[in-house]
Amino acid sequence: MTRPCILVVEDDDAFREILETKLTAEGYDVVPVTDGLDAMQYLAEARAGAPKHPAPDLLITDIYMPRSSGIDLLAYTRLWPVATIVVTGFMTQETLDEAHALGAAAYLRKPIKLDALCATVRRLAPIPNASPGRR
Amino acid sequence: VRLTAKLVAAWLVAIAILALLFGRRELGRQTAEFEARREASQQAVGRLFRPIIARTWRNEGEASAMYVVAYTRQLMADQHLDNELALRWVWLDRDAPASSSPMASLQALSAVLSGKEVTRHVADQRTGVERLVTYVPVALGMDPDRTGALEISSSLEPFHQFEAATRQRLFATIAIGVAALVILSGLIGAWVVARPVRRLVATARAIGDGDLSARVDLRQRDELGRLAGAMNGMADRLADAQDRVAQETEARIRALEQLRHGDRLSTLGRLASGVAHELGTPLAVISGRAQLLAEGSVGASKLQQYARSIEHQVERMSDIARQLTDFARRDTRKHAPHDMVALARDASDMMGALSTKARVQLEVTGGDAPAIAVVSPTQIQQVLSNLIVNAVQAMPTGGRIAVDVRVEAAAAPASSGPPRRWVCTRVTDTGPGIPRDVQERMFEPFFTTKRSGEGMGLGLAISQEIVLEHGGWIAVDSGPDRGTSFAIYLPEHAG
Repeated sequence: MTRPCILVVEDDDAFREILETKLTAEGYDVVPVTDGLDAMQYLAEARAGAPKHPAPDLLITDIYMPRSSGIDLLAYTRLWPVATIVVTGFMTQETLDEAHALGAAAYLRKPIKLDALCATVRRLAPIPNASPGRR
Repeated sequence: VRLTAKLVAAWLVAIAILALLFGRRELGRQTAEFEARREASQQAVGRLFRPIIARTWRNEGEASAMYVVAYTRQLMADQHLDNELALRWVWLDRDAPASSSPMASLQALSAVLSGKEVTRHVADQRTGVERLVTYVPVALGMDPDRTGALEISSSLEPFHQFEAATRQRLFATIAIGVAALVILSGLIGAWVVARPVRRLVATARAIGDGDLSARVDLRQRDELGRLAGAMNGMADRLADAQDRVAQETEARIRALEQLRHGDRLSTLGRLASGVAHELGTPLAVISGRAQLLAEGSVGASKLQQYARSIEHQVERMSDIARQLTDFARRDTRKHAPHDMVALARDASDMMGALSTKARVQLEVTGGDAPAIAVVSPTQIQQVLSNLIVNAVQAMPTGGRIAVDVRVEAAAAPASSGPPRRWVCTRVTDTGPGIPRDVQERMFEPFFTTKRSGEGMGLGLAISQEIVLEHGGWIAVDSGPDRGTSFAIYLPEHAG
């Protein structure tokens, strides 16, 4: 049975680890990367069918990151649409509008409720043959 | 005024030359007229005596004729008229005795031999005085080889004296006239030209010195009067323009104040959103750890790690609070003149260990001339350390940082004023340079290219605040081929 794959893009090591822990426990395969550029690189390799690079079913991304931002990543994914949840500390209305225009499916503001995140994740990337709620 | 004087002088010289020429011509005309009259009277006397002498000669012989001549001559001398008119008998022979040979040379008298009257100017051989001499031939009806003539002469001396005196009077009159005209034109010039020009110049100076209420009152209907009118008009327009500029400046200052108020609000907004974003991540980590702990799924082995992580995030938030306090603090009490070279060396010493560890060579140059600026040394150290740390971090594989201090003349950006002298401290690295889009935003608070938790994005914002507060600015020059150079410009403290 294959587990859905989530690409987690977060530059803060501690928070990325929390997301990884929680989502793995929820029954997902988690691919953690530290910024938008790494995420784009992963997506490109997954698309090219590189081994050990499963195509993600869902994208969870921060907005303000070094090198390449979450907005850049959203723009990139328009080439290859993938459901995206934006998780960030603060967004101006302009950035929020931009994220929506680029197809972000949901927006959660730090600090987040992990349960709320899991509910959104399950909605966008359901686990096959699994009862909703905890495993 | 000088121009007027030159013109007047030229006129006077011209008048004097004309008067002189006219006087000389008049004198020449009078001389010619006098001589013509004198010649006519000499001829008249000659013609009067010619028949008397001729008849006496024929009837009573030579002696009686000579006696008439001598008697007449004596008569004139007795009456002291010999200067006016002297009568002599002359023989126009080559071998005539000196007593009866003519004053004029025989060549000049050839016309007399053929019976014509001749008048000549002759210098008296004894006295050297010039005389007018007329020869009237007398027909004696005898030996044709002998021709006698009456010689009637007058001294020109009195006339020459008169001529010289007239000439002197002419010169004197012209000189006095010129002098009088000079004085007169000086007075008129002073009244009509110099006085109004002085007033015009004084008014122009006053306007030039900024007294736009200065006016000149000239009731003259000449060019100077019109100039005064134009100058008054100019002063009016200048005063109007000054009023308008003052009003516009005031309006602009009000607009700027509103803008700055708006700017403060937007800075505050950016600061607030920056704080919200910066606090978001540590809060999310603490909250996430707490939620995982609450779920009870965390193994005992991980409890300590979670607790340390929460402690670490709290420290992060304290750091943010502390840096925000630094950002907001406005400490201007400790400003004093400091040598920027010394401050740069201090900062370099402080950063020595860090840079050595990162295999970065750090050196301070400059200091040939004093580079003094009025600064808060701790704040400027903060700026320098910040720039050096940024430079070290820009070169993860090592490199070189040069801190150079020198005094430069430059015009401040966004200032139309003349260039002044600045103490410029340049921190230059050999890193990869800063992309243009980053350069545009890097002074914004909370803008950072570092990973979350490594830097808040306040370093350059705080540095710029500090430098602006010191009356200076930070300039950036960066490119992939030449690394990055941050220049801190601070006003030079003179003396």
